Order: sequence, then structure tokens, then C-alpha cells
Amino acid sequence: MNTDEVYSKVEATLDVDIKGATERFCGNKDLFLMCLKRFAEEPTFGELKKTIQRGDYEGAFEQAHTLKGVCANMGLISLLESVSGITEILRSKSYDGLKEEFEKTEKLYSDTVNKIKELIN
Amino acid sequence: MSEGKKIILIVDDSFINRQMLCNILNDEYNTIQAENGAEALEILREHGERISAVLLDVITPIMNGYRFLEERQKDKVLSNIPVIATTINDPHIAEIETLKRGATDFIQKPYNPTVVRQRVENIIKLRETAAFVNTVEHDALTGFYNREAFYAHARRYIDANSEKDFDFIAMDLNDFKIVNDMFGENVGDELLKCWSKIIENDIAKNGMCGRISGDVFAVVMPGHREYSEELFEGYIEKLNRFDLNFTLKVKFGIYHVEDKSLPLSLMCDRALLAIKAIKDDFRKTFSYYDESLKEKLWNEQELTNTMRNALKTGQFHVYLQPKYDLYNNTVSGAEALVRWIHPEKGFMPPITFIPLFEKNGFITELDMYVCDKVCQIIRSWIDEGIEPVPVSINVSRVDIYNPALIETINKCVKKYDIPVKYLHIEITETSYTENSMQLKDVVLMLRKEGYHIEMDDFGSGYSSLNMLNDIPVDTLKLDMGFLKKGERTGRDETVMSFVVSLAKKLSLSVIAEGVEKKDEAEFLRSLGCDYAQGYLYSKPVPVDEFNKDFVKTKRPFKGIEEKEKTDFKDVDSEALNDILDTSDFNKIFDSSAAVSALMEYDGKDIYIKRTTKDFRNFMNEITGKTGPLFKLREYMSEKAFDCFKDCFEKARKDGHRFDIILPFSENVEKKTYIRFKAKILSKTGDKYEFMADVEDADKFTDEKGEIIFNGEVRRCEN
Repeated sequence: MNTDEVYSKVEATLDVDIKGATERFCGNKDLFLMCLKRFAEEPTFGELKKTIQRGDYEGAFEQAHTLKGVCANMGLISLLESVSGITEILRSKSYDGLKEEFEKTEKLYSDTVNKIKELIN
Repeated sequence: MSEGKKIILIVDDSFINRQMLCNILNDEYNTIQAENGAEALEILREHGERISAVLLDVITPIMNGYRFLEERQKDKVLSNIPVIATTINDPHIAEIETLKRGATDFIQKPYNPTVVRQRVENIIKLRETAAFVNTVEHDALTGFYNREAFYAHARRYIDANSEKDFDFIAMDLNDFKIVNDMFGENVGDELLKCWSKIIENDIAKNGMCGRISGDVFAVVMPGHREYSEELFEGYIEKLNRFDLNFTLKVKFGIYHVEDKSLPLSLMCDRALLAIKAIKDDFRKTFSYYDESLKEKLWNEQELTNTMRNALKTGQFHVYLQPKYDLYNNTVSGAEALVRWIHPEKGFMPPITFIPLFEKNGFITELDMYVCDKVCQIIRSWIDEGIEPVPVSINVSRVDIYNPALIETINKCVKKYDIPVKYLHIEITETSYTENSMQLKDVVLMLRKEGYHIEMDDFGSGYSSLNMLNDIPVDTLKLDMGFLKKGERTGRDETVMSFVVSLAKKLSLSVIAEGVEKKDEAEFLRSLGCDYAQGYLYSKPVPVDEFNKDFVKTKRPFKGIEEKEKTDFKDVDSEALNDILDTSDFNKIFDSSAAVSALMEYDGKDIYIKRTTKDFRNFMNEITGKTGPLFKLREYMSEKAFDCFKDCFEKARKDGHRFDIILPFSENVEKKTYIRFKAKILSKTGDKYEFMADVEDADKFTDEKGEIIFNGEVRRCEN
């Protein structure tokens, strides 16, 4: 598959604002795909999970925040919304519904990551 | 990295975010990436101001953005590099906090490439403009406003506080040029920095300060205060903690600002005028401006306006003051001195116009006028069949800079067709402290033409010992002035006796000036001083009178003896050691600012006999050893010593001076080249005594280690 073919498939398969993301990458589709692949490989989400499990909510907030930024830049719409939800709970320091919100996000994240891995080898 | 592009540092723990920013900026900038604050700080410290801007993700592990900003603020250079914080579009993130800690702007995620580029461009432009304004307004060394900026800001300060009174204080660091000369510009710069801190923290605590020129600073202070010597001496004392082994002096001039509409430059002129009034008065550190000073300035202006006409119309007269041979009371020469007989003001003392002419450069014309007149006088003696005595003319320190000096003197000599031996040239030691290289060149050329050189005011400056090694003069002139201040003390006499014996050992004649009393003449005679000049014998007199009294009366005439300079006669070593062992001598020698030593050479080794403090420090640095140094040979290779021997042998036979660069690399921790500038003084049996100035020869070495030096220097390798 060439770049354009993969690119179209990504657009069709993922909940992604591909137009916005491409603009952010200054039209560099290869770089966008490379970063998407990297996103699927990066340990950030795993780190977030670990910090929450540890009860290190401050660390978790930083991880969530970083993840949120990356999702925003990559244009991963639903994942961004979901991660934002975690960020807000962590910021409020009430931690109400954190577990549920995290489980929901984790599912969405692994779903997204699996799709990316299938699309880009 | 491509050349010429500005560098942006991107700090973000996310690889993806960094890639995006690089991708956005790569067309226009070079980018460097850091994963966290600690890494970023390291990069910043390495590249410093070459980095044009930093894009910083506020939340990064290891050192977050806030801590990074705090660390950066601590460093003066780094805090000037603008930081753009990048953050998620999130109203809760404490943007204010980031701003407070020094971020200059924000970019939000998700990135908008156009916005990112625009922000970066803006911030760089802003910084460059700010930096430009900064360099234009501020003096790089001290951070003070420079003259123009100071005037402008002080103007606003005064205008904004029109109900207040103000004092304008100018401060002049005396002898700063000498500090630069003796200790190098780096030390001079450090000194200025130290002084600027004192001004900022002590003097101008609630005022405004600026650097007017090299060593002149100024402050504007609210209020009209009465100041005291103690106050200013306190500041000077603080400055002297900058340990130079050299007493620093500062003069303060105060203008109580009466007329606030006066341009700041004129306020400054008035404060400077107040300094000028006490410039030569060592007892005073400060003075106020008053109207009489303005009058003095007007007088000076009037003299300046009329001086050229005065020269044309013959108002300047050459007077001659005889120099006496102390042994047989005969006239052995004369010094030509200029007098201005003004048609209205009458006889004007030289002090009223010579300093002014030195300042406005007219002295060169006047000196050359005197030179012409003196040659004419000598010609007239020859024409009348009288054996002339040599007449010395004064060459001002200003003349040293005149490239046509020697040519002009030569022209006068040719014009009247007189033998050069009758024209002596007096130069002052201050010329040496101001520009030693130039003076050396001029003296060497004058001597080459056959002129006899007299060093005026010897011992008055700071570099007397250096100068003797550096400048080949024939005669030293000592001013008796310091013997007259109060009682004659043992120390002064020792200084006199030291200088006279030193001169003798250097085969130089000594003329004592300002001799007024018989017992002074006796004392000089007892020291072995050759010649004297002063009111005891005669004041300066018009040429006719000189002719009548000293030429036409049949007194025997004798010129100043040319000392023979082939090899050394043995000197009485005991007498010599008597002088050298006096504690006064040690004190004088030790406190000399020269890096000098008195050494002895016996053909087998070089022994160090006396050293200045700076010499000891210098050698300890080179050899890595502390304590006394006795034999120099230990620090020299066989070859280097042979080279030294060879040079010494040549100098012994001819000129008595040598200038050599030698490697000091065996048995020492640090390989280095040292320059020896030496002068052989005396011989006792097989031992020769010589005085040497030493210096690190690194500055004569280029990148390849080749020695580059224009002077007469011998090079020798291990």
C-alpha cells in the first residue's frame, strides 16, 4: 500500500479529524502516518495506567495531560474527549468515577491502537 | 544544521509533539530537541544566546516547565532567551503562573502551524529589537547607560520630578590608563566592573548612573547635599580592596543643579570642570562647580583663541636655565624653557598655558618653535666663535604621537647646520606610562640620529624600573621636589642615593633639578651626582642674559659627558651590596609594579638576588613552586642556557641589553616560554649583575606555536 492508500484507510477506519491533523503536519502525510504508528507504540498510556494503579494522581494528571496534547495534535477525536474526561477528574481531585472513565478510555485506546497497528506495519 | 539559520530549542516529552513542531519550523529554522527541562537547560547552557527561542511544554517529566523557567531566570544570559510555553487548550492551566516565571508567550495544542510560525517569528524579532536597544543604550562592560542614553533617561528623571533638587556627580578614575598598561586590559575591565558595582550599590543608591567615557562615570542624585572628604574616601577605600598593589584614586566633581533646563551634557561638563580644578591636588577628592570655574574656562578659551597669533607675533620667548657641573662649578649645558609674554596680561607662568596646549595639541607647534630657536641660538654661538654647550629642548608627551617629530627636529638642525650633539632632547616619564611602545620607537630613532636623550622627572612615575630596561636614555633628571616636602627624611635620601647609584651602574649621567640650597648641592655631590640645575645657580633667563652671564664671561665650559659604553669596569661589590641590602631599597624594589628581578650571572648559572612581588608570583605560577628561587639554570635546558649565554655575551660587548624568548620546559609542570628583557648593570670579578623584566611569551606565539615578535628577540628551542 502506498501512502495515499494507507491515509485513506486511516480516514475511513479511525475516528480522526484527518484534515485538521494533516494541516498540523503541514500536509506531510508520511510524517502523520509515522507519528500515528509511533502513537500506537508509545508507552504513555501504559504509564498513565501504572500511575493511576499506584494512586499517584499527580503523576497521572501529568501523563493524562501529555496524552491529551498528543491526541489533540493527532486529531484523534473520541480518544481526546475520553482522555480529557480523565484529566478533569484528576484535576478536580475528587476522583469520582475515575475507574469507570479510565476503563472506558482504555478500551477506546486499545481499540484505536489495534486498528493503527493493522493499518500501518 | 544549515548555516545561518536561527536555532529553536523544542522541549516536549512527546516525540510526536516534537516531530510536529520540527516539521512546522524546519523550513525556516534549525531545531534542537530536548525531552525534559533538565536536558533543555543543559542544551541552553551549551549553546547560550545562539538559541533564538525555546518552545517549552509546561508539563514534562524530570524537570517540569515551571522549574525550567525558574532555573533559567537565575542565569543572566539564559533569561534573555525568550520562551514560548506550549500547552493544551485548557483554561485551567495556570498560564499566569507560567508568565510570572518568565515565559514570553503561549502556543496551544493542537498546533496551528501558521500561529506557531508567527509567534516564533514575533518573539525572535521582539528579542532582537530589545537586544538592540539594550546594546545601544547600555555599556556592555558595566551594564550602565552609555552617555547618550544616560543623558536622555536623566532628562526624563529630572523632568518627571520637577519639584525636586538634584546633584550631578561626575567621577573620574585617575591613572586608569596606567592600570591598563601595567596589568592588562582584562584587569582594567574587572576594575571598572568593580567600580561600577560600588557606584550602583553605594553611591547612587537612590539615583541614576551612567558611563560617560572610558573611566568617567556620572550619577544624578535627588537633593542638594553637602558632601565630605570622608564620604568619598570611603568609596575609594572600598575600590582599593580590588587588590592591585597600586593605589587607585578617584576624583569627584559635583554640580548642584541650579538650572534644571540645562542640557545634561552641560551639567556633566560643569561637574567635570569641578574635577579639573582639583585634578592635580592630591589632598582633595571632590569639589563643587562654581562660577569661577566657568571664568577659568573662558580664560582658557581666550588663550586658545590667541595662541596662534601669539606665536606669529613673537610673544613666546625662549629662556635658558644653566646646568652646572657639580664638581667644578662650570656650566655644562642649558635647558630651553618657553615663556609667554602677553601684550596685555604680561608675563604668564608656564603652568597657565602648557597644560592647555598639551590638551589642545598646540604644544607640538610650540615645542618645534622652541627647537628652531634653540638651533638658531647654537648657530649664533658657533658663528661668534664660542664653543657651544648642549641645550635641551622639551618634547611633550603629546609630541610622541606626532609622526613628523623627528623629521621636524632634523630639519631645524640642518637649517642652522649645527652638530646634533648640541641638541639634547628631554622626554618625560609620563610619556612612558601613557604609551611605552611609541615612546620606545621614538627614542630609538632619535638616538639613531645621534641625539642625546634626557629623561625628565625620573622617579615620578610608576614604571621607572621598567622604563630603564626598556628605553635607552643617556641622562636621568631627578626632581629635588620630593626632598623639599617638609623635612628631608632618611627614606628620601635613600631613594636619591639609590637612583644615583643605579644610574651610575647603568652608565647614565644624573642631573638634579630644582636645587635651591647649598646643602642640597653638597648632599648631591656626596652621592656622586654629576650635574645640578636650579635657582641656587640661576633661574631661567633670556638668551641675551645667558649669553652675557654664562657665555661671554670667560667661565670654562664643559658639555655633559658621554659615558663610555664598551665593557664594564669592576664595581666595588661591597658598596653595591650596601645599597642593595638596605631595607628601604628592598621596600622600593618590592613595591615596584614591575615583574622584575635583579640577577647575577657567572657564566655557569643565573642567580636571582632580588625580586619584586610580582616577579615571585609570576615565577611561582610558571614553576609551580613556592618559596625563593635561587638558580634559574634548573629551569632551563642545555640548549636554552647556551642561547642565553650567547645573548649575554653579545650584550656585554654591545649595548648591554638583550631581549630574548626562552623555553622553560624542563623540570617544570607547565611548559611555557618566557621573555626576558634585560640590562646588564655591573661586573664584579667574573660575575655580572643584570636587571630583567620577565613576561609570559604566549602572546608572541601564534596558533602553530611559532614565535612571532617584531622586536629584537632571540628565539631558542629545547
